[in-house]
Order: sequence, then C-alpha cells, then structure tokens
Amino acid sequence: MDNLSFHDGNIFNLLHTRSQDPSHEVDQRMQFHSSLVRRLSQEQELEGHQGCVNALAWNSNGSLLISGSDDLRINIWNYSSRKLLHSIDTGHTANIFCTKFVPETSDELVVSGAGDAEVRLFNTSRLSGRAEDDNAIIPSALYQCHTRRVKKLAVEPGNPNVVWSASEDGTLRQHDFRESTSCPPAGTAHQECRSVLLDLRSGAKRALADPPKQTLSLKSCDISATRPHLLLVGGSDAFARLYDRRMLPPLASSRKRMPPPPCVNYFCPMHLSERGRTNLHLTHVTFSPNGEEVLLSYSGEHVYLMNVNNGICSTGIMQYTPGDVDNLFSFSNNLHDVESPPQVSTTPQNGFHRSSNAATVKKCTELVEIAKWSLEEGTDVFYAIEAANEVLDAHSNDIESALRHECLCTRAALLLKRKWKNDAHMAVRDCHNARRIDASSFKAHYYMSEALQQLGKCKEALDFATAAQHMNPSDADIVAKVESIKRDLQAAGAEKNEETGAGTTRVLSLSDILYRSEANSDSSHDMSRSEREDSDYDEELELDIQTSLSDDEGRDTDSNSMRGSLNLRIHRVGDDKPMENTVDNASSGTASSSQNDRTSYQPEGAIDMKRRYVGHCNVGTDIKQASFLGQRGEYIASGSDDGRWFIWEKQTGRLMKVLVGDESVLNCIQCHPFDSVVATSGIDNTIKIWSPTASVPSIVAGGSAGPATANVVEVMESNQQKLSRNRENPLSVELMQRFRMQEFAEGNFHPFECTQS
Amino acid sequence: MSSWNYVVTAHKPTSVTHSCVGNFTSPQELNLIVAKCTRIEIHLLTPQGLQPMLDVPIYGRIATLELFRPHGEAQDFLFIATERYKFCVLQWDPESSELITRAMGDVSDRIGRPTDNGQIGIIDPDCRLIGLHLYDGLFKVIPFDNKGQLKEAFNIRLEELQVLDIKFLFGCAKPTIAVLYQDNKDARHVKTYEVSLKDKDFVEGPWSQNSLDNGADLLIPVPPPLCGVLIIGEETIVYCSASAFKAIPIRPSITKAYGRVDVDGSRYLLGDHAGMIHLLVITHEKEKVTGLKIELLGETSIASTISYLDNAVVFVGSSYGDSQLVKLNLHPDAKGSYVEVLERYINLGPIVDFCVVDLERQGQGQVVTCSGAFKDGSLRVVRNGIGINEQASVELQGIKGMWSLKSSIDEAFDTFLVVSFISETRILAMNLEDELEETEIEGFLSQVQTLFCHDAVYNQLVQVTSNSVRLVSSTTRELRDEWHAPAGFTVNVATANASQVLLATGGGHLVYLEIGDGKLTEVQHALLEYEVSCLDINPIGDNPNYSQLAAVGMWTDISVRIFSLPELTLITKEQLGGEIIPRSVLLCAFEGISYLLCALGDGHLLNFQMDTTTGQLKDRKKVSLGTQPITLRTFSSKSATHVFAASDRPTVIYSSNKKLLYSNVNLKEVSHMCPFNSAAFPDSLAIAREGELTIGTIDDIQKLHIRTIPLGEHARRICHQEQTRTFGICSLGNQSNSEESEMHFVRLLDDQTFEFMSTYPLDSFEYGCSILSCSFTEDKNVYYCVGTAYVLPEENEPTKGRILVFIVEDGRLQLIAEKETKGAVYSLNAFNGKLLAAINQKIQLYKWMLRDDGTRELQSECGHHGHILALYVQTRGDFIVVGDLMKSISLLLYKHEEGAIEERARDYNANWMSAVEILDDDIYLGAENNFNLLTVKKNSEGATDEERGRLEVVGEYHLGEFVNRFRHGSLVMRLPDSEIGQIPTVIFGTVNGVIGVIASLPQEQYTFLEKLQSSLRKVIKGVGGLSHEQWRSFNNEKRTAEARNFLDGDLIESFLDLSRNKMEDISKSMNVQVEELCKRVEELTRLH
Repeated sequence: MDNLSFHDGNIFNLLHTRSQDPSHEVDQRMQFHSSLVRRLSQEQELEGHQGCVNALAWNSNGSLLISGSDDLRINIWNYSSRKLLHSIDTGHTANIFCTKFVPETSDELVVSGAGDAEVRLFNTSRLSGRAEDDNAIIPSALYQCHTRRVKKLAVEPGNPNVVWSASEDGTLRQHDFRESTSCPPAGTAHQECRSVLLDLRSGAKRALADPPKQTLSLKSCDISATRPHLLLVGGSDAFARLYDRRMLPPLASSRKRMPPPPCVNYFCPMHLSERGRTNLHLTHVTFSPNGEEVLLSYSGEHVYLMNVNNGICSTGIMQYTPGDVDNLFSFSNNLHDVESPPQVSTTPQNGFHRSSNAATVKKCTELVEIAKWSLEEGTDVFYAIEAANEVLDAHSNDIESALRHECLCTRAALLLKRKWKNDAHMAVRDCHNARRIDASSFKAHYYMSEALQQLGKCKEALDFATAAQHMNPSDADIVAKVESIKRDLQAAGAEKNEETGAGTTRVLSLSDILYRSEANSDSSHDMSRSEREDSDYDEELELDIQTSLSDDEGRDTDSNSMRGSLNLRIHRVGDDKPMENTVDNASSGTASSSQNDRTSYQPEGAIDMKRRYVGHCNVGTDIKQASFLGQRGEYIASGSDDGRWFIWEKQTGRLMKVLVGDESVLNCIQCHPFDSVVATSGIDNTIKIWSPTASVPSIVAGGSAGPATANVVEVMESNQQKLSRNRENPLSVELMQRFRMQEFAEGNFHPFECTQS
Repeated sequence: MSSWNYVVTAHKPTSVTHSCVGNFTSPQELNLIVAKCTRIEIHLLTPQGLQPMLDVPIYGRIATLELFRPHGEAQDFLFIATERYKFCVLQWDPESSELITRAMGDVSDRIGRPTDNGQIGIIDPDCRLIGLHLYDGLFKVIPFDNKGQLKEAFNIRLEELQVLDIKFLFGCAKPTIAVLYQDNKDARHVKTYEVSLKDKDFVEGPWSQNSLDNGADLLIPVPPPLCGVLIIGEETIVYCSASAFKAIPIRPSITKAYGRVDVDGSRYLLGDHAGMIHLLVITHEKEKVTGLKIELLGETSIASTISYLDNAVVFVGSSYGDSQLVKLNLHPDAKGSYVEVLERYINLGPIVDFCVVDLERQGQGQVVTCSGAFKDGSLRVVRNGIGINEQASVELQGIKGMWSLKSSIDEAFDTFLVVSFISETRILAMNLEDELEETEIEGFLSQVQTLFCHDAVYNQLVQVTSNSVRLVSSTTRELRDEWHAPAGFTVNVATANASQVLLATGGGHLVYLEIGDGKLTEVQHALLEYEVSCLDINPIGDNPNYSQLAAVGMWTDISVRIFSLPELTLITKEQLGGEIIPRSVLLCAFEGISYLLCALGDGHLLNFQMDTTTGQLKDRKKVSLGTQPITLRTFSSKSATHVFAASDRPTVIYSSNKKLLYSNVNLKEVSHMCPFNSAAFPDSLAIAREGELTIGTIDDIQKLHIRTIPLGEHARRICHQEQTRTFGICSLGNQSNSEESEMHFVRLLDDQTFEFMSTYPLDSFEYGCSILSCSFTEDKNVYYCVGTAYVLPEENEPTKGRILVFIVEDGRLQLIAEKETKGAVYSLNAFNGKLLAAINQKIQLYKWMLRDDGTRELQSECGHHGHILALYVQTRGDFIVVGDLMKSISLLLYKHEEGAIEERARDYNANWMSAVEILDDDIYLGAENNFNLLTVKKNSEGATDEERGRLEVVGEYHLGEFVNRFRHGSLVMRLPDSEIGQIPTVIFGTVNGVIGVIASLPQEQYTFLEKLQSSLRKVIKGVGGLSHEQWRSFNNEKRTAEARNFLDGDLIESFLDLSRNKMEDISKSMNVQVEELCKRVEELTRLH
C-alpha cells in the first residue's frame, strides 16, 4: 500500500544534508534507507559449498564473509571481489551450524560449531601458501565437551581470547583460548572441562508461572555489542533469557546438573507465555545494533521485537507477570492500571521541525478511514492493518485519544477478520487498550468478545459480550454474538465432560489457578485477605502442576529441585512484600535500580513484545534467523520456509520487501556492517549477496527463481497456513520427504545431505 | 594528468566548529581560540580587536576543543581531541610563540560502537578528570594527578545508550556528570552520576529529571554559586538542580550554540538555527534561583559556537555563514536589534558547488562558489592575487618615478604626487573639485628627473636630482637649503627618510646627509670599491624618522651591504651570487621581524631576516616574482605595512603568521608605484603602467581575494555560460521557518554585476539538482540545461524530475524544451553533442531532435542501469565515469554503432562517493564520505576480461575534508614559459570552505617531492605530537591504508617556513642544495 509514507524521509534530503553537514548519522540513515530496501535485488551468487549453508557472519570491518555448511567446510569470501579466499576442510563430522571470526585477530582466527557437538578453532594464516584444494588444516583448538549439537557461537567485540558456544545439551560454554587450547581428548582420565557458563539442563519452562525443569536445548545466543556483559540465549521453550555475565556463578563442569542461574530478564510475548505449546521454541535471538532491543524468532511463530530492560528507565519496558496475562482477558478485572496517558504527551512534544502536526493528524484520520472502509468491504485487510499500524505505531503520540480508540477498534476488527496466527491475541491487546481509553466502549467490548471466542475463551468472551450488550442492547450483531458464544460454551462443556484428555483440561485448570492467584495479588494491595486462604490456593497449585508433570516429562525431574522452585513460589505468594515489588515494577514502572536488581533474580516477570512481524513461515528449520538491517537497525529481516525472505519496517511492522532467496528454505540473513548489502543462505549450496541495484523500487523482486509472485498477500496467507498447521507437527512432512531428513540420533550422520535443522 | 598527485590547500578551512576563551598565552592575556575543523587559531584580545597570534594545522579533524587550568597553573592549557580518537594537551610557549605538547595519546577502544550524535569531550571544572563519550555505553575517564599530570585512562559503563549531551556539574564534592539521553520510547531525561575515581565506576548522582522537552538537546552547566544545569529544549528551557526546578517556554527554535556571559553564570547567550541570538537570564536571590528570563537580542550568522569575550563583545563562530565579532549594545537600534556587527570573518563553507571561470579573460581562473547555507547563502568569487579598484586614471607616458608628499608632516593625507620623467618632474595635487591637477612646488626643480622625494621633519620636503639635494619648506614651498654633488659627479641613486638622505654618486661614493631645520648637513662620506646600484634607509627601528642602518646594493661583486648610520661603517656584506645585479633594496619590518629585501634585475627577490642591532642577515630565501627588474616600495593598508614589488608581474609581499607571503596583483605590468593617501582617494595607490597613471585602492591583502555576493537564499548549483556572459544557478529560497513555502528557482545572473537578470521558478517541491551550459549537434545555440527532482515528503526517493532546456534571449531565460524523467536528475553532462543525465540509479542519454514544426525536443536514446544512485558523472570522449552513492567508481563506454552504453570496468570497493573527476584517459579521481581521496586506473592491458573489468586503485589519501565538487582549472595565471604552467590541475571545494588544488606531477618530480615529504615528516612535528603519516593514511570503517600516490603539498610547502638550520638538515638528508630545494618548492607554491 504505497500511500503510506516512509519514516526515514526522502533520501534526496539526506544527500542534501550530507553535502553541507556530513556526519556518521547521515551515512547510517542512508545505509538501509527505505528507498534502497525497496530496490534490493540479488547481485551475486557465491558458489563454493556443496551443502546447505547454515551459518553466515561478516568480520568486524565488513571486508570478509565467513560461511559454514553441511559440506563440513568453512568458506571465507572477500567482500569487494566477491571471491572465495579460503575453504577450510574443518574435520567436523556433522553439519556446521555456526561460524564466526574471532575479533581482534586480524580475522585470522575463525571458529566453528557443528552437529558433532564440537567447536573448532582455525588459524587461516596457516592456509596461505598452500594449494587451494589442500585446505585440510589441523584446528588450533578443539573443544569436544558439548554432548549435543552446537547451534550457535558468540564472540565479544574486542575480545580475541574467548568464544561462547550454545548447544542443545542445555549448556552454554565459555572457551578461553588462553587457558587451554583444547578439551582433553575424550576418554582420558582427565577431569571434565570446567567451561559451563550457563547450565540450563534444568532450565526450560513450560510457562511463565512454571518452575524450570527440563533441559533447555539452546538454539541461539548473542552478546550485546554495546553492553558486552549482556548475554541473550534462546532455546527449546518460549522464553529468551538475558544474563549479566558479571552476575553469573563461576564456570563449572557439567558433572553436576545445576539449577539454572538467575537471569536479568525473560523475554516472551504474553500470549506465548502460557503452557501448552509443546513444540514452541526460539530459532534465533539477537540484540539490536544499539543494544536497546532484542529480536526473537520462534519456530512455528512470528518474529517479535522487545525492549531490553536496562534498569535505567522503566517507562519503555513492558514487563508482566503471569497474572497480567489474564488481566488482558478478564472483564471482571477493572482497569486499575488505567490510562496513564502516554508519558511524552504531558510535555510539549510537537517539535516544530516535525512537520506540522495538523498534517499528521489529517493523514492519520485518512488512514483510519481507509482502514474502516476496508473493514466494511472486507477487502485488502492486510493493507488496512498496515494503515492502522502506521497510525498507532508511528503517530500514537500525535493524535487524539478518540482517534486512537477508533483506530484500535478498527485494527482489532481487521485482525479478527484476517485470522492469521495470533491475530486474535493482537486483537485482544487492541481491545484492551481501547478499553483503557474508553471503559464503556461498545466496539472494544464487542471485538474483545469476538477475539476471546476465537481463542476459545468462551467464558470470558461471554462476559464482554454481555457487557457490550448492556451498552447497546439494540445492536443485532451483539445479540447474535452472545448467542453464538453461549452455544460454544455449551458445546465446550459437553466436550469437556466427554473428554479426559489432559491437553484441554490443563489449559483450563491453569488459567483458573492463575485467575485466582491474580485476584490475590490484586487484593494484596488492600490487605483484605487472610493468610489461610492463600496457602489453600497454593496447595492447589502445587497439586495441579504435579499432575501435569507426571504425564509429561516428570521422569527426569528430580523432585527436590522441583519442589524447591515451587516452594519459592509459595513463599512469594504467601509473603506480601516481594509480590508487591513485582507488581509495582510491572505496572507503575518507576522502580529504582535497587529494586530492579532484586527483580533480576525473580524470574516470574517477563518482558512483553513491542512489535510483531508477520508474513514468513518458520517451521521447517531451527536455524532460521531474524536480523536487524543496518547500523540503526530500522528494518527487520527474516528468512522463511518458502525460500523467501521478508523485510519489515521496525517501527510499524510494515512489510517492505519480499524476496525469493532460496529454492527451498532461507535461513540465514546477515547484513553488511556498513554498506547496503545483505548476505543470505539457506538450503541452496550458494550464498546470495543482495544490494539495492534493482532498477525500480517494489515490494517484490525477481530473485534467482525468477520474478516472484506479485501477490504478496497470497504468499503470506500460505505461510500462515503452514504455520498454523505446524501446531500439531513439529516438522513439516513435505520438507522431511524432500530432504530425506535423517534421524537425529548421535553418531548417525550423513553429512552431505541437508538436514533440516 | 597522471597518477602522481600533489594536494595543496589554496584556501584554508574557514568554517568555525569550536571556540573557547581563556588565559592561554599568559596569565594576564585573554585569548580566543578558534577551531576550523583541521586548524586552530589563537587570537589575543586587545583594545583594538582580535590580534592573531598563531594559526596551525592539526593532523586530525577536531572533535573537542576545551581550555582548562590544572591545579597550580597560572594559565590555561588546551585540550584537543580528534575524530580519529587522538587527544593532546597543549601549552603556550612564550619563548618561541609555539605550542608545547604536555600530553598526548590515543583514546580509541577496540570495542564499542561510535556514538551517533558525535563525540563529547568535557573537563571537570575542578580539573580532576577529563571525560570522553566516544562509544555508545562507554564513558572514558582520564584522571589528573595532584600535579595536573594525566594518568591512565579507563572506561566506565554508561547505562544510557542514546546520549545527547554530557556535562560536568559545578560545585560538586566529587566530579559529577549530568547525562541528557533518550530512552527507547524517544522520551528524553537527565540523570546525574558521580565519578568515583577510586572504584572506577559511577555512583548514583544527586538528582535526575525525567520526561523533558522532546527536543532537549543541550546541557549548560551553571557555575557556583548557583550550580545546577540548564536544559535547552526546542520549546522549553529548564533550570534544574538538586533543589530547584524552573522552566520557561520559548518560541520554537533549535539552539545550536551557547556562550556564558558572566563568571557567576547568571546570563547566557543562545544562538539558534535561524541565526537569532537570545539572552537567557537566571534570576536569583543570592544562591536561590527564582526563575528564568529570555530575551531576543538580534540576528547574527547561524552560530555553531559562541564565545563571550569581554565588554559586551562576542565572537560568533559559524559553519553556515561568515563568523562575526559582534557587540551587544545596551539599547536597541532602529530595527530593535541589540546586536552590532563589528567584524566579519569570511567563511566559504559549505561549498556545495562551484565553477571555474575567467571573467577578465586574462588567462587566470576564478572560482565562483555556492557558499553558506540557509539565510547565509551566498556566491563567492575567489581569485588569486590582489585586485586594484581603479578610481582615476590619466594617460602619461614615460614615468620614471613617483612619490607622494604632504603639505605638512603632521597631515593625515598626502597632498602632492610627484611624478618624474626622463627630463622633467611634474607635480600633481588635488584641487577643490577633487580632481588631480598639475601644480608647482616652487623650491623643486622641474626641468630635471627627480631621483627621490620625501617628506622631511620641520615641515620640509626633500628632492634629490642628479646634481643636488634640495630642502624645501612645505608651507612656503621655497628652497631652504641645497646640497650639491661634487663637480664631475652625478648622483646615480638616492634615498631618504624624514631626517636622513643617503645617495651615491658615480665612482662608488656614498654620501650621508642629515636634515635639520632649514639645513642639510653632510655627515659622512664613504668610498666603496664598486658602483652602487641601489640603496635604502627606510626606518625600521623605534624612531620612525631615523634609520640606524643603511642597505646598499653593489654592481660588480653583486653584493648587498649593511652600513651603520651615521658612522657609515660596513657591518655586513652578503654576496648574492650569480651575475644579476641588485636593482632595489628595502629594509622593512613585518609582525615585529625585520627583513632585508633585495630585488634583482631578472625578477628574482632575495629576502633575509635581519638583526637590527648587529645588522646580521640570516635565513636567506630566494623567490622568483617575474622576469623584469623589480622596484620595491612599502605601503600601508588597514594599518599594516606591506611591500609592493613593481615589475612585469607586480606582487605584494606581506606577512602572515610570521611568514612572508607573495601575492600577485591583478595588473599586467607595473613600472612604479607609490602610496597616495589623499582626502579624495583615501588609502589609495598611484600606479604607473603601460603609459597610464592610475589611482586606485587595493583589496584586502591576502593571497586569495574573495568577493561576497549575498543572495539571502541558498544556491546549490552553479555554471557559467561564456557566450552570454551569465551564470545560471539553482537555488532555494530562504526556508526560515515554514517548510511549506520553500521555493526553488533557476536564476540567471550577470557575470560582472552578479545581478539577477531572470528567474524561472520551479514547481512546488521541485528542487534544481544539476545545471549545465552546453550545445548540441547540428544546433549552433548554447543552452542552459537544468535537471530537477520532485522531492515529495511522502516519497522516500524522487520518482519524478524534469530536464529543462533554456536559451538566454535578451538577458532572459526562455524555456525551449522540457523532458520529464523518472527520478532526480543528479547530474548532467554534455556528451557527443547529446545530453547525458544521471537519473536516480540510471544513466540516460538524450538526443536533441528537430521536430517537424521546427521546435526541438530531448529524445532518449539509450541508458544504463546497475547503480545504487548515480550521483556524480563525468565524461571524456566516449567514456563515462560514474561515482555511485555506495559502489565507488565505474567506467562506462558509449558505443556509437549499437547506440548503447555498457559497463567497461568498476572499482569493486564499496566507497561512498561524494565527487568524481576524470584526470586523464586512464586515471579517475574520487572523493568519498570518510574524507578520503582516491584515484583508480583503467586497466586496458589486462590479460583477462576480469582484469580489464576492474578499476585498480592506484592512489589513496586522507584529505580530512568532505569534497562536494572537483573541476578542472587553475586559480593562477598559467604562464607558458614556466614548468609549472605545464602541470594540469584540478580544483576542489569542501564543506569546511576549503578550496584545494590537485596537481598531477611528472614522475621524477613526484619522486623527488616524496623524498622531501618523508624528510619533512621527521623535522616538522605535528601539533600535539599527532603523526602526519597516520593523518594522511586512507581511513574508513572498512580499512586503513598508508597514503600512496598523493603528496601533502601543505606539508611540503611548509619547508619554506623552516629555519635555515632545519632546511640544511633536510638538505643534507636529501643530498640536495638548500637553494635548489627552495626553488623547487617555491615553484610549487605558484600552483595556487
């Protein structure tokens, strides 16, 4: 929808500014300016691998690109000549998943991690002078202490001595080249390596409220460039975790399974924090270039952007506790966190250089009209949502609350109409926000009931529908809605009686419990409840979890640790003070840093999403990346199972560009540190280099596979369907067939076949 | 041209980026220190104004400039940090008047992301530490020890990542910073931290302030007794401290600079983006702040820095217009302004475009720049040499000498102009109608040639003829005394001052006379072994009427001798060498240094520094000014003394920064000159040339002369059309506040008067982005072609533009043809009788077609895609060189047969270009966004297609300046007889107002100079110990590489400033005579 303007202005003005006031800022804004993003096209295909390329990384000054492949080779490419400089036969015995340049080593040291659970370090200076095909060099170091696949490596800018590796064995290890160059050979009597920085073998959580217990298979990790002590990891549950390396216990061996160390923050979109999604996991986590945000890519889910809680200003942080999840859904819960109008609007805000406010308001009003028209017509729903996003995400401070309310309700309705994955959840949020503006909004209540109905929360839906009916008894729609919800409720009730399956009951019972605990925490403010009642609830909670565990993963849970975590929780609910703390932090957000320190160790809170990026499908592989583009990170890119890659505007989630980059699945996206150049890879044996050289700007462009389909929405629809289908299937069947996916069992590798991993 | 290039600055940077005030040169002296990107200037405040003391280059782009006073010091030190993370602490050395480096170092870190908002460097008011914010999330601390020495630096983690400003607070027991930052919801806050030097960490500070004005951008720390900090926003100003919070709303503006007025910090000057200057007052009762007040004072140039000097005099430094010295008056003038501009300091920056023209058609290039920005936009005509503005002239043949005389020695103005001919002397004077009229001085002889004239003490005049010296009363005009040459001798040469006469007769007799009241006394006589060729007794000592030294030039032994007066004893004899006799000697003093100048018959000039007490000569230097004998005369202009060297290439010799400079005068040939400061023609010169006597005033004495044509709007593109004697410019109207009303124009200007002749307004949102004067195949007319872009706010790149073809008819722009394009026309070139345009990412060739109805149109012929943005295009023959936004330089070829353009070769490095030019068939020059220059070479002989398809980088150099435009041409007269005349040059213009020259040298000369450069690097140490080699190394985020195939002309030419000893050191290391070195370097200085 090209009547939306771009938030980075006209590139002509940047050139104009540059000619009289050159600065880094202008260059940075130019690097991935929207006009250039719109003209990205494939410039080159780097040939040299004989297998899928699972890992890409640029060196710090962007002169070299390193890639790791299923062919067990690391290739190093020259950026300016686009030529293969070195091809290293790594000696890994399974697919390479990750590879990096070690900083400050003149890019001579490179490191790789692979499916054979090994981390290998190579010195490329030893390659020079050798014949090109004779590149089998002995690794400078070999770390064999992981027991499962190594999925991601991290390095610290400026640190030439240390590399971190994240493995599916649930540990993140720190390898210091100065201490030992390698692990002791396997089978020797030596003590096991003391290199475990994070032991998350009992760290995975099923839900935010749950204690951690199972092994968290790590899939991704990242170190913040601006605050290198911050370490972000993601794995086989819904929660990305932020650790402060300065606060972590000393390195340990993996002999004794340790309880997970306290983390600074959990990141998880609220609607994913509930239990019940067994195969939900993160495939990629990354910090934004300025370190203020993180980007999470979920398998079977979308890409989410969140703020990092840096402890200095909590106004921008959306932290929530398990109770808040249900706040959203519950009608009974009065909106007591009301309507603090957005902070900024209390101060004079419309800088005069920001093009006149009246024009913005006019534009926003038009956009809302467009969205409403689309809603009525039922056409172009996707673009109508983008129009609403534009208003709400880019200009919410500029417009009156009435227009904001209008827009929120319209977007909710559009989302409910589109019905892509999680759209209903997003609609709930919009309705909730709309209610905060106008507590007696009919539309907000109506769409809330619709959303809740779509989510199967018929009971809550009915509350809202009834309320809406009260507000506008004559409306025929709402009457019908109430009826329909009631029918659903009855049907559900009947089903419940018939069925004994754990799945549905579990969800319901959990939500019941949370309800009540939420009620408690609310009432804790007025101190009107008795201690007795509390512990009753907690008893119930414990029991419930116990049963849920037993049918699932209870076998390897040692009851001691589980009880420990539970006790912690009981203690928390029973004792008012810390609970209040958490609530305070979440709702008022004015916690001093000392309070923040304490909350760092209370893992019950998580940071909610700020923005969602929709369109791609991430199911088939668990190395799919979502990356920031450019030094300012104003655009977000993600690979997709359909071989395309998608670029969105960070601020609004607007889809900017869809490109076909692979015959089957596109996994890796790494943008050049300074230039408007992106490297991507996937199942194909080649790496594609993209730059803004297309002759005309457009949302799609011809990739290697010829002109892509013009109908972007169709592409996205089909991706959404695949995503939803996946709810049942962890791995898509078609992909498994196509690539003769082998067993994951250790020691049984077929290295030259692409694994979908 | 060649790949061996010599880069030299013709006009130094003038854009002022920083300034500060303090006692730097002595505890009693107040200094203004000004940074102009890569230079610093030190000025002394005197009752007369600012007096320059030092102007030195810094090997880096200055990011921070701060004065501070360490404990126990009586005067301030200067702290400088550069954009490439070098820092130094400088101290003034009164002995040598130079800067001493007290400390230096590198503050770069391996880790960290350079800050988006520029570097911050601050010094604790109690001088406990220096704080630097260079990378996001890091605050670097350089602590001082008790003795004021710097200790090892360390980093502290700063939680705030989007920092807008950091300042130290006054009056804190522990060093405390206030941090203005933006959170990730774009809200702005201030937080304070104490710096704990012991723990090397921050401690929570005394206060913080949340949710400020969204435009809050600047912190001003308030000194004791009030303390606290001012937070300057776009719509509010807030005073904040631990105990108080006061805010006032202001008219929306962006504050660009501030200056503190009072030591107690109660008043501040704020300069905004529109050039308005406000006074901000903190009202207070004792130490309690009661409120804020703000008042508009008036308008100045758009300030980048404001320094309050003293007595309501303020220095306003600007990078968008001229810097100014202003006085703030107590009462407003008629227009309500309290601001009175005392002085303007010319600033050419930002030069966004320029053209080279020869307006006088004398074979000398002039540069016309588009300078300044916003309301301070202007055109500047830059020309080498000094212009004479003719006031009056009369035809007079055969002038042999000229002198001006006063009617009384105390008169301010000259009355008489004595003009001497071969056999007569005529006297001119101003009549009542302010006309120059012949008159008489009765006591003078008029039927003979006058050899010399001078005013003398006791209201007398002296006339020297070949036979006698006559002393005449200036009031009665009657002869009072006369000295006769001995029989058989005639006076050959003579000179005089107010009280002395020195003359030489044939046979080597030197006679010294003194002037009394009505009396001439022969005081001394000497017989020399050879004939005297020239002499001078210009007083340079303390007494302006009496000289203790006499300079005498000799025939035969070709020497110059210094005699003491009145004894007439020889104290120094200097052999000049060679066979050319000295024709004119002159004693003079510049900037407190005494010189002896000696001009030879072949147009060469020797200069020596002279010790006035001993008469010793040192630092002999020789320059070539012309080819004919030179006559030297002093004159004053703007209360400074200069020397006029009359010859076939008249030159003004002056001194700047204690260095003698030679600037040619824009006149063809001058035989004689004398200053003539009459009431009707104040500060004028009388000049004899080509059968004419001219009276005229002289331009400011500087090497480059700059004429400003203020436009009041921002000129962006310029080109000249020889045939119609016009300039075409693209400009945008002053957009002071309302963006909506921004208007763009194509304007036609007369190339002499610079008056607007015709204007073609562009559509709304339509920017003029290129302009070209050209003609087409089969059409004898010349046209102006203008490329435009529609820059719509809702678009992210222009999708529409126009090419407009104008013809100039009767001084008006007539639109002949117009062609719509699919994007911005970034560049236009005449190409094979067609028009080549760069439109967004595409290169497009248009034919000029004749329609059936006789009208003409542009018709597209062919194009070439594959660029990101084709911003800069140059052509030569069938070759097209494109400078891309991000993809460096590529070479395209137009194939006539196929009518197609195809890519021939490209540079595969990812340089972000800012300008390109073709040096010759094979070598292309480029400038990129990290302030580097590069040359690439076509590889036609490559063995493979791939090799041939690659432009090889052959030269790299860090210029330290952002180049917006290259143009072939020269600023100096190209004399075919000199070697230098054969060297092709390219001129460039930069954002900081630099005009530079790139000269392609023959390899032999390059190799020689390269050796000289490396010798000079060892001898000339950079200010603050900064390394020249590092400074000139090519540097961007991607790589750093030693400079190659470019030489730093500024360094090489500073050879001429070296003392003789140092020159000799270099001479030894190079194994080349000093004279030879001087000669070769001096030749180079003629390039600009």
